[in-house]
Amino acid sequence: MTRMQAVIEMKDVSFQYNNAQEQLKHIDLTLYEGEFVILTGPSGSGKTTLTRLVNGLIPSFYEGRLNGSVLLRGKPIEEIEPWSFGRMVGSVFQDSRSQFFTSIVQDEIAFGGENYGMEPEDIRLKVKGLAAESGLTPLLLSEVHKLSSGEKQKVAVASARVTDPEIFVMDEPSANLDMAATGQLADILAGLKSEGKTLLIAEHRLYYLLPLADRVIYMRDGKIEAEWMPEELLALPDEKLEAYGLRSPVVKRPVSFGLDSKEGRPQERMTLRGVTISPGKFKPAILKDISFSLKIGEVTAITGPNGAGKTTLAKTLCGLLREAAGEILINGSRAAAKERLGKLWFVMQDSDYQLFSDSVWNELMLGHEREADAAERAESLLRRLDLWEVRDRHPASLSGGQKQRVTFAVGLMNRPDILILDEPTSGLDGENMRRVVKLIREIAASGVTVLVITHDYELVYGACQRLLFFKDHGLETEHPVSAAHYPEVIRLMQTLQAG
Amino acid sequence: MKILIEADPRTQLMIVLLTSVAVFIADFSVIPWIILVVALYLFAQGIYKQTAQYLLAALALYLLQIWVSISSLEIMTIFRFLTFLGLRFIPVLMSALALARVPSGKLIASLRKIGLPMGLLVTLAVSFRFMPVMKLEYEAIQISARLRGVSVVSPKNWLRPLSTFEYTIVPLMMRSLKISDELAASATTKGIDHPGRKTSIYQISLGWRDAVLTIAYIGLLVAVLVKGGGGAL
Repeated sequence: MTRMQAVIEMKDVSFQYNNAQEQLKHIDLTLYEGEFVILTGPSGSGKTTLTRLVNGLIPSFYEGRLNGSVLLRGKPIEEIEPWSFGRMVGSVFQDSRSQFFTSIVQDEIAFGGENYGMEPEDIRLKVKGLAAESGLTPLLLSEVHKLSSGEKQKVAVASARVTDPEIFVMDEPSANLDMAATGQLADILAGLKSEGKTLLIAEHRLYYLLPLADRVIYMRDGKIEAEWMPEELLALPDEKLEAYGLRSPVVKRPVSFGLDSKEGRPQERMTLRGVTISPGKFKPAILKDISFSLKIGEVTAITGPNGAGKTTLAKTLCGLLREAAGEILINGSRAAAKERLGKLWFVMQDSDYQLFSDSVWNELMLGHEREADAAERAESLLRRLDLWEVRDRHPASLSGGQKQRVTFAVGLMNRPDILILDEPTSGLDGENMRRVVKLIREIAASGVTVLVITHDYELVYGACQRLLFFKDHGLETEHPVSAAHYPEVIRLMQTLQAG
Repeated sequence: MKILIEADPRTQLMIVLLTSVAVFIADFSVIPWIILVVALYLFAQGIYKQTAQYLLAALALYLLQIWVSISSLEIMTIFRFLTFLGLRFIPVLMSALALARVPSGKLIASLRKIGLPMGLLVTLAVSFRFMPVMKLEYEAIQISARLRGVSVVSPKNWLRPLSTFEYTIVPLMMRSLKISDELAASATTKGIDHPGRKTSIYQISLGWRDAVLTIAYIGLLVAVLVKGGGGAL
C-alpha cells in the first residue's frame, strides 16, 4: 500500500484556554488523506478543543496558549489566514440552534459560498445539488428553526459542503438526533467518505460511525490514551468499555435487562382514559384518544418521531397544559391540571433553562423555604447525587453532568409521584449515561414512577420496563422491554415505524 | 403564500422611513388613514393575516381612546397617553412587517448594496435571526419557571418583582451568551470574516415595480396628509 499524504499533522501539541486549565497535553496525531477518524472519550477530555485546532477556531477565535506544531496540508496553522479555513475545512456542530446564521434553508446552505465570493450562479447550482443529495429540496424555502433536528443537521452538513472543503470536522453531530435521523446522517457521511474527503468526528455514540471508521482515537484528560482499529474496539469486552467510559460500539443484545416488572406492586399510579391533548387552547390536537397507565415504581420509555407530541404530552401530564378531552387519574382519583401541578415533575433536556439561583443549595431550597424539613431533605439528596461538595458553587460553574444532577435533585425535592425526564442521556458519554441509568433505577426503587422521553436505546435497555411508541396522533404500539421483545424494540427505535 | 408584488428590500426600508416621517408630522386625526394606506401596501404584498391582526389591534386602541376621552376619571389621562402613543406606533410597526419577512441572506445582500459597513450588517442580520430563537428560549425557560412557581405569568409573583425578574433574565442571559458565542464561532468557520468581495444568490435590483410602489405610496400619504390637514405641513 502506498503511503497516503498527511492532511493534518499535530506534533507535541499542548493548548490552554485563557484563564483555564490545560486542555490538550502533548498530542501527536496525523490524519491522512481520505481517512475517517472517530475521536471519542469522556466529556471534558479535550475532544472539542482538538477539533477547534483543525477548523481554525483555535487560536484566533478561542484564544489561549498553543505549544507544538499543527500543520494543515504541510502549512503551520499560524500562517493560515483565520478567515480562509472555511475553504479547506467544513465544520458541523452539535447544537443546531446556534450554528445557523440565516433564517431559511437555501440561504444557510449558500452562506459560505457567498462569504467567499463564489459566483452566484455556481452557488445556486451547488445549493440545488446539495439539497437534492440530502433530500432537502422540498425544504429549501423553509425556515431553519422550524425544521426537525434531523433536518437541521442535514442543512448543517450541506452548508459545510458548499465551498467543497477537503476536510470535515464535526463535534457530536448526532447528539440531538433520534436513531432514524442518525442513520441518515451516517449515509451522508458515507457519501463524503466515498468522495475521498478526510473526516474527523468527535462523538460519544459509536455504533453508527464504526462501520465507516478507519481509526478510533480515545482521549482522556487532554491526552490520547488509546487508538483502535474498528475491529479492535469491537473485540473489547464490556468491562473494558465501561472502564473507558464508552458507549456500546454496536447496537447489540444487552447482557442484562432493565428492572424486572414488579409483580409484587401492581398498583396503578396514573391512568389516562381517552385523553386528547393540544399544545395550546386554539391549536389542533396533536394526540387523540390516548389511554395507558403507569404503575408505582415503574420506568416507562416514550419514543416516536419528531413532532409526535411527546413533549406536549409531558407538559400536559405535569399540569402545565389542560387536556382537551378525556380524564387523567392519579392514584385512582381524577386530577385536573391544577392538581397535577407539583405532583408530577418534568426535567428538561437542557439544564441551562432550569437553574435560577446563585448556588446549588439555594437552587434546591427555592420554593421550599417555609418547609421545616427542607434543609434535611436537600442535604440527603445532595449527598446521594454526589453534589454535596459543590453545594456553595454557582450552578453555571458546574460541569454538564453535575448541572443535570442538580436538575434531578430540584425535581426530587418536590417529592413527586411521577418524574418525567426529557432525553436525559442525549449527548452524554458512556460513564455519565450509565450513571443516569443507575440513578433512574434508584429513583424508581424508592417508589417514584418514571417516564422517560428518549431515543437512546442504551437507556431504554438499561432502565426501562416498557416502551410506548407515539406516532400519527396516537399511541401506536406498546412493548415490554425484555429479552423476548429485543429485536422489535430496537427496530422500532431505528426506523420509527411500527411493524 | 403568493406574493403579488415582490418589492426590493431597499424599497421596503424606504417605505418604513416614509411611514415614520408621515406619522411624525401627521395630525392625530389622520392616523387612521395612514394605517389604511399601510394596510393596502401590505395587502399588495400578500400579507393578510398579520395585517388583519394589526388592524384589529388599532381598532381596539381606538375604542379604548374613545372610552378614555369620555370618562371623567383623573387616572384615565395616563391611558390616553398610552393609546395615543400606541396608535402612532402601529403604522410604523406595520410597515416593517414586509421587511421582517425578507430572508436574512437577501436582506444582507441588499443592505450591502446601500453601502452599510459589514459590522453593522452582521449585527442587524444576527438580531433578526435571534428573535425567533429568543422566543423559543423564553418559552423553554417558562416551562420550568412555572413548575417551580417563579414564573412571570403567575400573579402571585408580581408581588416580588425583583426576584421574578431575576429568575426570568438570568437563565435567558446564560443561554444568550452561549448561543451568541457558538453562533459567532459557526459563522467564523464559514468565512464571515473573509475580506474579499462577497456575493449573493439573490439578484438585488430595483425595477419598475419598486418605482411604481414608492410613487404610489408617497402619493397616497401626501393625499391623506393634505386632505386631513397635516399639522406641521
